[in-house]
Amino acid sequence: MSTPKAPPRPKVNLKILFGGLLLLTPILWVFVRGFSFNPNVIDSPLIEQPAPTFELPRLSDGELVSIDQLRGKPVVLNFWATWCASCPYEHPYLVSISQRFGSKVQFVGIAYYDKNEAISSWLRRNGGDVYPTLVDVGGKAAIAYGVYGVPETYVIDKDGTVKFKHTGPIDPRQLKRQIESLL
Amino acid sequence: MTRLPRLLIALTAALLLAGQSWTEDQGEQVDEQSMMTLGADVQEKLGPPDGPPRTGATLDLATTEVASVIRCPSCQGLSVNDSPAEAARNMKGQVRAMLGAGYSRTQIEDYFVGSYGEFVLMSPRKEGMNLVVWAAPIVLVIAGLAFALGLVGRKTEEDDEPEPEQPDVPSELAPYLEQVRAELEADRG
Repeated sequence: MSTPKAPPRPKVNLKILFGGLLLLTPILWVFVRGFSFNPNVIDSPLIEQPAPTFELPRLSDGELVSIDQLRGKPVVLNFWATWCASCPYEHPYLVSISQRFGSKVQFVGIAYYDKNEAISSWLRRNGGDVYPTLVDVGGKAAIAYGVYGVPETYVIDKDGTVKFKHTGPIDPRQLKRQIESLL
Repeated sequence: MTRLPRLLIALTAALLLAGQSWTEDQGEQVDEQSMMTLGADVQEKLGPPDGPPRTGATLDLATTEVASVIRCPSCQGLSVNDSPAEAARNMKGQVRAMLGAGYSRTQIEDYFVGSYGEFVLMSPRKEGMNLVVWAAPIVLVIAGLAFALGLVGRKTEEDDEPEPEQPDVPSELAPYLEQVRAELEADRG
């Protein structure tokens, strides 16, 4: 009995192999990047840049407040709106964290595309006006900060440099860590 | 039977009206003068405008042109010129205010890219790594054509190749070879 011959090994065309790899690698890279993408962390060109200037009326008295007036301590800027579905869930955390850090950190809410009456009423229902709320009439501040949608939160250090941006409802632990790193 | 189309028309109208009020009535009404006011950060980021102020039809035309290349951040693939969303209208207002002040298209693109990143442009700029996006389709088409032409050329060359020359046969074997050829001819015959 003779042993059956092994089938001939198929020849590998190295040109096709390397050409295919060359084409596939960038496609795989795009897939890997897509799957590891966290939609709540949008790269902002403002990180490590000076916080854009704004001058907005304060809801309580209409007085204009600028970013320059807030320098000297870390600032948490929270863009929100009364028509935003997740803002009522986020607001109590912001109130609690602002009370925890007290005068060491300046929290500021910026109402995004909203009406003064609606903002006041919303705040009364959702924990009160614990920190100042500014009204972004015409959306100039939202444009300056590159706001995609609400809620969005920015942490600015005492020198006025943007250190952190979060899109969507804030993770309280993450926000506390960010603030503590600046104190 | 005529009720159903009427009902559908009424529903569509109601949805359109609801959608309109949702997109248009969120914020405080902004008057024309406020819309034409530059954001407080514009001069700080860009410095003085490159050109003279624009007005009238020139401003309208330039606004449409530049607003068409700026993406609405809260819409799906729409420019701020095409979107009815409030965010888009405010961004278009900012574009108009900047053009009115004399800022150039490049300065306006730089301003929005500085806030939102390159994503805010409807098409990537033709510079740096972005060139790959612009060049890749052209390179691939040329490579494909070259490959196809190469294949066709090789096939034509193979067809044009002359018949291989008969090897020299020793003289003592020539009769046998002749016999084989004759038999082959007879078989074909």
